[in-house]
Amino acid sequence: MSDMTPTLLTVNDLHTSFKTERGPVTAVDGISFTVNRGETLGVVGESGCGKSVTADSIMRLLDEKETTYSGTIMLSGRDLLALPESKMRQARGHELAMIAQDSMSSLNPVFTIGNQLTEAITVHRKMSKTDARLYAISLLERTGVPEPEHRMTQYPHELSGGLRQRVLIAMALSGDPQLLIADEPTTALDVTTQAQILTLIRDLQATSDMGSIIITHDLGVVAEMCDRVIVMYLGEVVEESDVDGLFDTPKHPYTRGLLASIPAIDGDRSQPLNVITGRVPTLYDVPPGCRFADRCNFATDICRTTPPPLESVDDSTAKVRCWNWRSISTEDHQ
Amino acid sequence: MPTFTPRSALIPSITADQRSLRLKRIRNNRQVMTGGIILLVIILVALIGPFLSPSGPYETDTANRLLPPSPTNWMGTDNFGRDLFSRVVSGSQVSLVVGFSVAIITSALGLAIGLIAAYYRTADRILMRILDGFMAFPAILLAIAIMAALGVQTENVIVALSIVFTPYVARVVRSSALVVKEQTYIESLRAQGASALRILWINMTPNVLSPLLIQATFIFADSIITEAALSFLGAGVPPPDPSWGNILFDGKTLIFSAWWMTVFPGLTIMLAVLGINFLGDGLRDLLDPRHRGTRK
Repeated sequence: MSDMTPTLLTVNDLHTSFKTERGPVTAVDGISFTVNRGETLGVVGESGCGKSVTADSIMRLLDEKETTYSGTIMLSGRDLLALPESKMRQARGHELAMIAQDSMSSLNPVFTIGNQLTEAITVHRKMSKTDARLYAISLLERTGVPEPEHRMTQYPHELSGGLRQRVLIAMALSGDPQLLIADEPTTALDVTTQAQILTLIRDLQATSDMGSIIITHDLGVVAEMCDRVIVMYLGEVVEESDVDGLFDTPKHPYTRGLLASIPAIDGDRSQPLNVITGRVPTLYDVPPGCRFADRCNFATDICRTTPPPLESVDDSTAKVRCWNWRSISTEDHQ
Repeated sequence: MPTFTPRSALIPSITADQRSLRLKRIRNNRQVMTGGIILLVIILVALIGPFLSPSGPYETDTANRLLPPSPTNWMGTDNFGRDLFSRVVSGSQVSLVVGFSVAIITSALGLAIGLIAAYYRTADRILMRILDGFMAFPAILLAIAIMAALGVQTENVIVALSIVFTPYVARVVRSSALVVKEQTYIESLRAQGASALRILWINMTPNVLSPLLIQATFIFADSIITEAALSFLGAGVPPPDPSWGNILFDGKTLIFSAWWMTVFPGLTIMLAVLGINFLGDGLRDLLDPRHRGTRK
């Protein structure tokens, strides 16, 4: 960490496309964002909007034969997309780590927790077995696993989902990464465990200058965890904002729809749920104009013909990809 | 007082409890027990049999040719007056050694090929087509061809059968490795920067061992049968070395005058193969997750 510029990760105009039998499909279509040291970026959107592909592209975990990348992903001054696979492998787990979404199947069932943790440690650090074991125990302590010494001898199926997620976080931290990517870290957990895990990630981050990206479809998680948010729709960024701005003055109709679809706990239960009608179009037939136009209540003629640019919102860092955001925001929303 | 067990002794530690549970499950599995006992008896007889028989497997005694079973010659004597029991026992040593070696060699080769094929797609195409080619031949025919090329010798039987049976192991390993490969924990390993070698040999191997072990048992049985068939046809263990197959061959022409020369080796082959297959079936019930509710 020689350069102490605040920017840790800069993704610039990233395109990720796959070869398929029906021709190439672009799952991530020109997205750009930055993550600063110590900052948490939220990436939200519906299923299939390219969140996970974005994460996998940064980690370069996608099948390289079937996948074409373009654009740049600069992590502390190095372009990850230009690295040879061997260098990239060294970077994985060490400079950037990932917490997978399914804690149930993310641990190898035939090895003990201790085995897997010490293995993860020795891959990146020159350490003796004994030191690695002690370090593993200290990591488990840091991630709030009770009785760490006993857990080391247990197999994954002997642990609860929450504990497994903690073990996975410990594993991700073992390489002391600069960037942590959490892909739906709490989806498979029940609500109380979710809260504990989120608190844990936030606390861990507060004690280091690690940057993180949290991918989620849960706006509650975003509100709880993130400094800034990008909202993705069908492979594009439709809105970028700091977290307060997103919740106070959402610009894009899609974001507004997402926010409106959260039922209030003290709301009128006789009212039907607010939903965004329709579904995400497939990547095979991307609409010619705004990708959200068909589901948008505010769509005008231009929306259906010409794709809107990602436009800066006056005098702020926020950006929005909508032709009509000015006129919409003057109307009373919600 | 002596029958009373203190309560604490009834609650063993977790691992001891699990181990005893596993043992119990093995003991409750009748197939594993039957098969295991049959195999064990055959191994024991192969080991102590030579001390029980009246004469060695090669000692001819022309005065006592083709004697029916009697208290001295338990299985009778053959056309050279050799003690049949002694020859069957000696043949069982050959069969067990051949079967066991083939099982071990095919497991090692099959594991390597199967894992590589599952992990690298280009290698998969090439390796699997070659193996398909091998599997297109009937096992015996291919074995005979290889024996013809290598020369009739007991060691070559092991080589030939290993070549014949490796594709069967490789296939099983490949198909379960393909499933394991797509598990999230393998992707997690990649996300942690693990190398392909580490993922393959350290992390995937233990996950495919159960099907491998089951397949190896069946190959053990199959290679005993195939070895017997090869020896019967004269392409296996060369006479005068006894093997279940060539004893059967010797008895073939005398089947009406000396039934014991075909019945006893025949029964022994059947018993051995039955025992091993029981063991394999039982192990499958015990280890294959599809035949059980949960893993472990």
